[in-house]
Amino acid sequence: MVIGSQSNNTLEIRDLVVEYRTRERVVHAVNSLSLTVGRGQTLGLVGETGAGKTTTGLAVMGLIPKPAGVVLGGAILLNGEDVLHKSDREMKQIRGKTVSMIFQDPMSSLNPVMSIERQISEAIRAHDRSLTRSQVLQKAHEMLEMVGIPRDRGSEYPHQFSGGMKQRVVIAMALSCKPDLIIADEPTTALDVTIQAQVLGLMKDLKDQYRTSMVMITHDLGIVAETCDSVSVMYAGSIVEHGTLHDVFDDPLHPYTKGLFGSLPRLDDRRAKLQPIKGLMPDPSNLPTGCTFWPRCDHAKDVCRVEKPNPTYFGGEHFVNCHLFNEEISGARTVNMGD
Amino acid sequence: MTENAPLIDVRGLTKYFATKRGLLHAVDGVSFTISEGKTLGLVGESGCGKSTTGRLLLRLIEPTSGQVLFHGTDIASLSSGEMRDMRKKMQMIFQDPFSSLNPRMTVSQIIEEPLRLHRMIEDRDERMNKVLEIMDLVGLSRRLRNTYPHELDGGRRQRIGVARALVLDPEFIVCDEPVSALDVSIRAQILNLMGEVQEQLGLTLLFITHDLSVVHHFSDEIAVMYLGKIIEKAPADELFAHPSHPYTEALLSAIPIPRLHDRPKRIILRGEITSPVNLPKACRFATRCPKVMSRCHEEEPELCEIGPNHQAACFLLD
Repeated sequence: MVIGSQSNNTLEIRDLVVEYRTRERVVHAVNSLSLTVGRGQTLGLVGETGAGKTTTGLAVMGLIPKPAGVVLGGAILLNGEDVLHKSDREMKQIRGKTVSMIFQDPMSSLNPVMSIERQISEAIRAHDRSLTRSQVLQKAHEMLEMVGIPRDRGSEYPHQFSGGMKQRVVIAMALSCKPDLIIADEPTTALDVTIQAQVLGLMKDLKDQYRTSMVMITHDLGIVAETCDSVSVMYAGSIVEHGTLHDVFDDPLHPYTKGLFGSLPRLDDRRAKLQPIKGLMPDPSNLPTGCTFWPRCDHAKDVCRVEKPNPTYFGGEHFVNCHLFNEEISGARTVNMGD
Repeated sequence: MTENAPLIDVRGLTKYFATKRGLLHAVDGVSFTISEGKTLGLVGESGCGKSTTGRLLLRLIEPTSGQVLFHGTDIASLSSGEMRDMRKKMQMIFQDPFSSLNPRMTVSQIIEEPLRLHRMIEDRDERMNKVLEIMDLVGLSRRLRNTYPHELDGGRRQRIGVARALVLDPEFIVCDEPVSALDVSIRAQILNLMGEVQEQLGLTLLFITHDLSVVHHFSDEIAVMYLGKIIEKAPADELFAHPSHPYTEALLSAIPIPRLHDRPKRIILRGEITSPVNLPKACRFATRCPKVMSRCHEEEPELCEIGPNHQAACFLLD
């Protein structure tokens, strides 16, 4: 399948490889990962701790911590333009203007000794020098009101806000330059459920209003069902299954995806026994050969231990990287290479 | 003892903390019972007093007023020596397996420590046998006995926490967010383990969590807390089928459900939980309630029976 670089995609990642190198070991954080986010679409990037979700987000932002982190290969196209070879100066212009990132802990983005209106103003001024001081402040206040914070609280400091309110400030900051893409890394994980519902609702409304594309990084399939158009399931640094929301939720195919669903308590039948995935996430500095999931897979065969699986497509964008289907396919299901 | 006599009987449990700004009502007149072998789920958002309630039940902090009866004995009346004996029967599993384990002790030393402190088994070999037995029970491989917590992942560390709580053969365990720090696939492993162990040993549990789908799966009965009070209590299925308090309704509707069909309508609450300091005499949920009436700002509703085993504190249900 050929993907045109001038296509209608806000973000395309192709075969991205990222490693963290320390004196003792090499951590293979992202291993040949590819994904696409269409304009105005939200992609859910789902996986457990250590799957490489955040590293993928940081790579798009050009914020992989150096010198330990090394991008070894692949391409990241933002609006069709490769950002991996941009200079630091060029990246500074791209961050905020083209792509913004929202982190789990709002305090990692907020300066504790600066009023929130000044912080938002700073973000606006960094990308638009033509505005006067009062215009910038006016715009900062508009952003605050948009996320549901009264403008007269603008002169307050981060510690005067609750967790949910701080995350709203961060969202206001991320949206202040109307970026084409927002990478939200577990934006509501630290919040209570009722506040989470408020913040997710707000993000959805704003995304629709600005027609922003979004990558929603989360471990919570419930949040994916609520906010995303398509889903990529990540395991040990690469995508094991991808499809539209309906593909993945109605017909999960990869044993890992099925395992994630099986691990969740069911609200319709509370006595149903949980079906956890056996074993643990592999050590990223010592990944299994072949398919990285085989040591935890109930269906693992000899081929899984030696050979990396290739994607098998099930019509549309739904694909799965699993040997089980590479073979089964020839008999049971028909292959439909991305029609 | 009759089969359904409550193991835990909590009556009017109250804990106020004095702060610079005034009296903080952490737990305010909480009453419930837990029958032997059953699990009560205590849910609520940050700051609602659920962890404080758990600590009061084990007398890790002293209540301002109220009673905790364990097998009919008021634990507040016990001397420190008697309380020490009582603690063997009441244990706790903590949320964070990273900070609740001593990093300088090996796995077997951590699990063994309660036995040594309570002088339960004096013979060293016998003691080690008990430790290994418990390690088998919680699915920790015996070869890990000489490793240190930092060498293990979160799931295994939480297994150590469970093992340590079980080693004294307790009757009652307070589980304070035992799976909140764990990944989904590991969380399911630990929940299954806890369920199996509970059944095998006939344990009584207080399961404290903010995760509603977990509490629904794990509890026989659920109590919902808001600002230090229980505002609704019912058997798990009943609570999820017929939530009656407006807060419970909103809380349940806020759970992100991992499926695409039959999604319930979401009720989005305004504002946030108010400060538990110097609370006015009014319904504590009045400031956020979508169905608030003038009466709610003037009086405080009591927890009333609204159905079989189903109680709620709301004027709408009068």
